[in-house]
Amino acid sequence: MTGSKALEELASQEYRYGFVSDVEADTVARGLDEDVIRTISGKKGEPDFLLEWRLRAYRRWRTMEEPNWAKLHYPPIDYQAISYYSAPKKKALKSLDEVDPEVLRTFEKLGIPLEEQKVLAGVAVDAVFDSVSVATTFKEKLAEMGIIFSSFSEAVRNHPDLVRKYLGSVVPYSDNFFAALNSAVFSDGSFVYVPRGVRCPMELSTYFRINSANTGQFERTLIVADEGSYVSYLEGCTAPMRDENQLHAAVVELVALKDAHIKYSTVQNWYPGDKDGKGGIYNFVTKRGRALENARISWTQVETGSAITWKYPGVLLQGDHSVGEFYSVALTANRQQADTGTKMVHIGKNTRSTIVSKGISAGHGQNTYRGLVKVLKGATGARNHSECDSLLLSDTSGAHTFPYLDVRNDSSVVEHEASTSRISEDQLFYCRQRGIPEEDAVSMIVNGFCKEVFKELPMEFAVEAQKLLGVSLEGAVG
Amino acid sequence: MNVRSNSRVLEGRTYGAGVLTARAPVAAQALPEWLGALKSSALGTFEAAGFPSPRDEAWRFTDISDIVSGPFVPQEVARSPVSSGALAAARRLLAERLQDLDETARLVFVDGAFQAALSRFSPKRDDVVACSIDQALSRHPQRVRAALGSDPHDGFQALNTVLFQSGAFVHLAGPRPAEGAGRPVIHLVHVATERAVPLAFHPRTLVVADPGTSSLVIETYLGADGARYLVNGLSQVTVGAGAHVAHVVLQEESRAGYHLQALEIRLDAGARFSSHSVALGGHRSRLDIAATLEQDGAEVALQGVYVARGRRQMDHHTVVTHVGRHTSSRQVYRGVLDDRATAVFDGMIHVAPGAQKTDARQSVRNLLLSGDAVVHAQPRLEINADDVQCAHGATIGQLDPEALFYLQSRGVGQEEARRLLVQGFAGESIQTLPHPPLRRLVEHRIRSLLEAHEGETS
Repeated sequence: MTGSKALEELASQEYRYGFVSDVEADTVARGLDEDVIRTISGKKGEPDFLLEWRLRAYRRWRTMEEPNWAKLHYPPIDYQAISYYSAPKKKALKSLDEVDPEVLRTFEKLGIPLEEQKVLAGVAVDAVFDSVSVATTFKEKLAEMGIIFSSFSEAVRNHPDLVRKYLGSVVPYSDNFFAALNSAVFSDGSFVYVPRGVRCPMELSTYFRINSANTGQFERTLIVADEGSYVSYLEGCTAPMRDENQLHAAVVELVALKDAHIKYSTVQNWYPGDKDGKGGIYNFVTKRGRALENARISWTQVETGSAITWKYPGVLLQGDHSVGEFYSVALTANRQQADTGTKMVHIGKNTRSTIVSKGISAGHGQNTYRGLVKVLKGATGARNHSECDSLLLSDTSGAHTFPYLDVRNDSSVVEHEASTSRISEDQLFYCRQRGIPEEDAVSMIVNGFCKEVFKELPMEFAVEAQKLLGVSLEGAVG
Repeated sequence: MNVRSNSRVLEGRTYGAGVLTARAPVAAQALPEWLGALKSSALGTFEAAGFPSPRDEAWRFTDISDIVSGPFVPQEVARSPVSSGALAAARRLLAERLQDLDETARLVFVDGAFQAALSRFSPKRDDVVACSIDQALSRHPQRVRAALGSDPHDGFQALNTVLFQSGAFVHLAGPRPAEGAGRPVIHLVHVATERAVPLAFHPRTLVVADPGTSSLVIETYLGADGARYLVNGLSQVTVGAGAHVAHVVLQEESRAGYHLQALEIRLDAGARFSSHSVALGGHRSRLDIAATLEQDGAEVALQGVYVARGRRQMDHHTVVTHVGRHTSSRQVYRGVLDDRATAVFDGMIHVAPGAQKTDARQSVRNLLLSGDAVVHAQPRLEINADDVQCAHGATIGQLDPEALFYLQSRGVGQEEARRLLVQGFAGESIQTLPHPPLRRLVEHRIRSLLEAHEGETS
């Protein structure tokens, strides 16, 4: 491709958010056994049922093998070389004044206007710094409406019945290797409960940030939308530059009861490793939602970071007339590898699902869409439409599409379309002919390519996502 | 080669019991030394690889437990020659199912053995060689050796190499046929008759098309009603520079028959290959197509139509590998599933690094006519070059109720309307079949299959 030099420079750009802030951290020694799990559980003062659950998960995990079917290549992970718990020592809460000023400065560097957000953006931020929630805002306002939005540990303390009822109800601890590991050692995360008929007035948001070196992050998020309620949840991530790969195995469970609607959006921008792929985050995530009658769950993700992404947000369309949606943009540059997609399991009658996946491969990036659409025998009138497009920006990158369609019902309609191509010379020529510089033209075309997904993002995120894509693409067209 | 082959390898053993573990030496005395060595090495490969298991991604949905544990006896071990009764049965089946298709040559194999009396070759032309592999081994051993290639890695294909006794060798020679002689049509017919012991056949088909030639090769598999047997075929096609080969597999195995076949194609620069798979029979059937576009400008078109009724399972697995530049591939598959049938379509487009200007398309559509039918569709893309156009589409759906209503409102009965729509759906693929007499035959076979009641097809 001509005139790709500019983009190449862009792609080789340093990680903007690469810095380490010095905070005293309370870290458990490396390695994993039952004692470590008891320690984690003890430090968090958890009830017995949770400790038991963790131990069951751990015992199951020990019998499982790390999956190797994904189109990903990485050196073996030594699970005994990881420290499974890290918390900032000072446990500040209640007001921002109590928060470690170092932490606050970190957030400022990241551009999270924690102070301003309260006033301006109307976004409640539950900032997870490493593994323990440091500050939670807007909680009181939400509490007035009966909405619970807190860190997972708090939820365990204050609402153990809710946690007990829904924890593992969508992703059981035996689900897969990484989910089992997470279930055994999860440190913290977010918990949301929206009561019956309540429409959450603001977008709930958590910024994750990995900080202490060698600390695997094992968040656990549980969102329960009771009958007829609505909630939109934003997850955004940045991480400081590190030399050693950091393991991240999160679990997200969504429960949408009858007539409820959950919108879950992610912008993931973890450290992707340097030009040679050294030092990036390994991201093995299990995300799944369960939609009951007439409920709706939408996953929207923009994945630009991480050295390895292994992630298949899915929806179990259990109730009749339930709807599942998956909108994804995944970008791999340099040596990044992504194996991501979705699972839509049609169980109820007249269930519908939509999949729109856009993969962009640049440099030596390897981008794989892997998705399953399963229509069970009882899913009369099920409808699915999938669209998976890939854009190749260099001759050394790869784009792969592996959809699995599994249909056992004759009244359902399942459609899958996929295409792979590069930016056409004609399109570029057209733009240049009208005086648009090549770099802008490429950025414009790529943004147009992703537009279907971006328009699903909440306003604040859509802007950030576009910027992120631009930054990640800088210099990537070759 | 029928009787004198390597029977000692698997003396008295059935698949489940012993093939995997029997490490008997290959008796090479009657075979050319190189062929004995090839078979011996294939036996090693098979013993190492074994039968595929459901844990193998490519075999996840193909149930071969009946084959692995089954009673199929390698034909040579059974030592049961083709009786005159079997021949008469084969003759009847041929008369009933296959009219004259205006072929240049027709080679007929009954229960795995070549039958010169049922075959014909007319008119004599010197640009075409079509004979059984044993004949070819004595006449053109070097050509056979080159066409057989090296030891395959897949378990079933290795088994074919170990056990094949006969098969067809087709060589299209010379750049141009003689004046007035049209494109040669070679028809290879495999007939299985009802036998006391369920037999396993391992037919090998070798097609070598010299540069610039154009030909049509049809492989037909027929089974007598009630016959229970296994066909494990391997067909290898080499298409020379600028040559064009059209290839058809018409699979009408018996209701209890098992049909596994691999079709491997290698294309030289500017070569064209088109494949048509028509799958209508068998209890379990599977066709694995692997086409490698090694040189610039090669083109592949794979078409298929499968009509599965009763409790049949029909699999199509394709791997199209683009290596050369400016290559193109097209895949169009149409499936109709009724009753409790299962279909698997697994199609891979692989673009190797440097295979720039590749243009690859794939489309698979399935029609589910019954609530008990199952479809597994996996269209896959693996792209490692950037200047390419690749697309695939897959749909699974049912008859359009509005189209049905339209026909019914014009006085067409519901059954007839359904049949018309199904035929129209499958027709898209049938229309691409080369050779009008063949097309008429397939249309007729599909119509009678659709008209049959479920009891007759299960």
